[in-house]
Amino acid sequence: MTLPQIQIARAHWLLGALFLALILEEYLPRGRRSGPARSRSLVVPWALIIGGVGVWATTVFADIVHDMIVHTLWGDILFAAGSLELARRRGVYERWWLDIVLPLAYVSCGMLFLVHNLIDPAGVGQNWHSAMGLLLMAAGLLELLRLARGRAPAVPISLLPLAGFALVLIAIPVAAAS
Amino acid sequence: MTRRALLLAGCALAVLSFPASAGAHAVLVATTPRWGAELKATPQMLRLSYNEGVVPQYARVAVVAANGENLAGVPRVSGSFVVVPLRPGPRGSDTVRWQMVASDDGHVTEGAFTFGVGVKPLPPVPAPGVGVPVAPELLAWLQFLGIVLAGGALLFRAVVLVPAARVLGEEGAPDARAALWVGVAGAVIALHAGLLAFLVGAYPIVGGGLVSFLATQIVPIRVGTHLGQAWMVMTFAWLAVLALLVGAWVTPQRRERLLASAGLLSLAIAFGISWASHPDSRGTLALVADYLHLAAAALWVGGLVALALLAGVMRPRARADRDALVRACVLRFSRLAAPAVAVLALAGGYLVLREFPGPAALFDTRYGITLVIKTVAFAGALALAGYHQRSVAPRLAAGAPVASMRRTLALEVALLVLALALAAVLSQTAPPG
Repeated sequence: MTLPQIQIARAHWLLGALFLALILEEYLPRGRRSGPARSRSLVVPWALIIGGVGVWATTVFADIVHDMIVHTLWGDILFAAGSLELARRRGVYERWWLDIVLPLAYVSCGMLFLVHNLIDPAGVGQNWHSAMGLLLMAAGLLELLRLARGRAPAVPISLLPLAGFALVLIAIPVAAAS
Repeated sequence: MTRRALLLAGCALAVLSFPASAGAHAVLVATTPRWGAELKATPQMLRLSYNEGVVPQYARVAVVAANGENLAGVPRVSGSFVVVPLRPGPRGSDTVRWQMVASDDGHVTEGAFTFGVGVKPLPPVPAPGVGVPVAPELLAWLQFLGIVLAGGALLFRAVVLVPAARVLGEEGAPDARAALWVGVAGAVIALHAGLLAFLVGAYPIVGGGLVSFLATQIVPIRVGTHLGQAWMVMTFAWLAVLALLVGAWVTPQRRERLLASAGLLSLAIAFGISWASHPDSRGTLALVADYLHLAAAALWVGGLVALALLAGVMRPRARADRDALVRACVLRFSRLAAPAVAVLALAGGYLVLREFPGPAALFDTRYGITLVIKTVAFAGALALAGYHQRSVAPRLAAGAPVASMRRTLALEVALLVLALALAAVLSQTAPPG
């Protein structure tokens, strides 16, 4: 199955909007959440697991071998991170290192965007992919930094690069159409 | 926005992420004749249409007829269209192997597909003289191992351990976490070994170098071969197994049911392995026998592995409690394993009788010699299983300590793991005749 680039780009708009909604749900403070406590929302872990299966499906339906390999790693990271987060948030598994699962998932997914660019240096949307990779890596590193300092602000600064990632996704169809 | 709405949105997100495309490469979008077509005679021209322009000097196309002759003339390129004159060839399945360089980005892509002349086309065949970088036998063995761990071990829990614990009046079967991790390990190993096995299987079909293989257009091989079809279905099935295992992890009240479902689905996936190496000409009965052979082996070996793990996991418990549960499991398993072993032997015997031209081939061919060694390992394991059932089980029932069977059980597991490894070698070797 090969979709025209413009259709893929339009799908990015929807993906970006959904991603924005997910991270706002995860990181914005709400009335019923007392202080900066860790999120117990199941939305993000489920989105990660479903996203992981979706990315593995991309592995299956990919046209080119290197796309398969990169998407396999993406799928593994998303599925594993989603499963661990789900277990933690449902209270069946507690380990100190679970705090760094989500930030590490951001960093490694961001790195894979850059690896994808390295494998396919003349591919479509190189600049967009680089920006997305760097934004995800920045978000993950900021989260790791926050954890290392033991700070828990009401709105973490990592929300900025994550929102930037979502906005890049939304911007892709505009760039493709112009 | 409610959480439910967000969850639905997440599902939509996943669905939207399904289609993949590689616009950066010259992707083959149409061919005349189309791949998989059945023609009356060799066409005069082969037409290939790409999604972007290709460099004429680097266009390579070979059309290999059933007799091994290359029927292709010099390709003529016009933008994204490539026309190749063909010489007339014999009846049979013709394999087209192409390699193009995109004029935009200089990227190399390659691929292979088949069409039939006077016959239904066969899947693309490996190019002669192209070696495989990873041993396919190892990958087949890892897939077997995944089915043993996720299928055999989890079903052991469902049909042996849980009922045995219930009979002893225990609240729930022990070591749910160990069973979960064994299942996850099996599913993850098999999922990734399956992907690598598909790529390793596709590599010689395309016939290029390792680096250019990264840019291979894989669709015709994925869709047109049993290897690719089985891999697609098995991948989604293994993901479903993993989802069931995650479900079992996070919902303790439904854990046993979900673990049993994961075990059952894993055992069903074994059909994909049988299908992947099954030529149409072999017939349905051979396919069914192959599957039953593999599934029965997974139940037997997986059960023994789970039994061995159980003894380890129960170590912190009081000796009397531990012995009681392991004894109950051994007695129950020895009753259930007997039919599995019978199915295994019958299906294996049928396949040998069907596919062997004569006794001489047993010692003259690689397939035959491997089969003989495998049969010896199987016979050894069978003898030990008989010893356990006829001699050890009655003693255990009479209250003998469980430790008395530890060494023979370990030997039985080792012989069966060896037999599985040899089965993996056989699955990658053409039978004689």
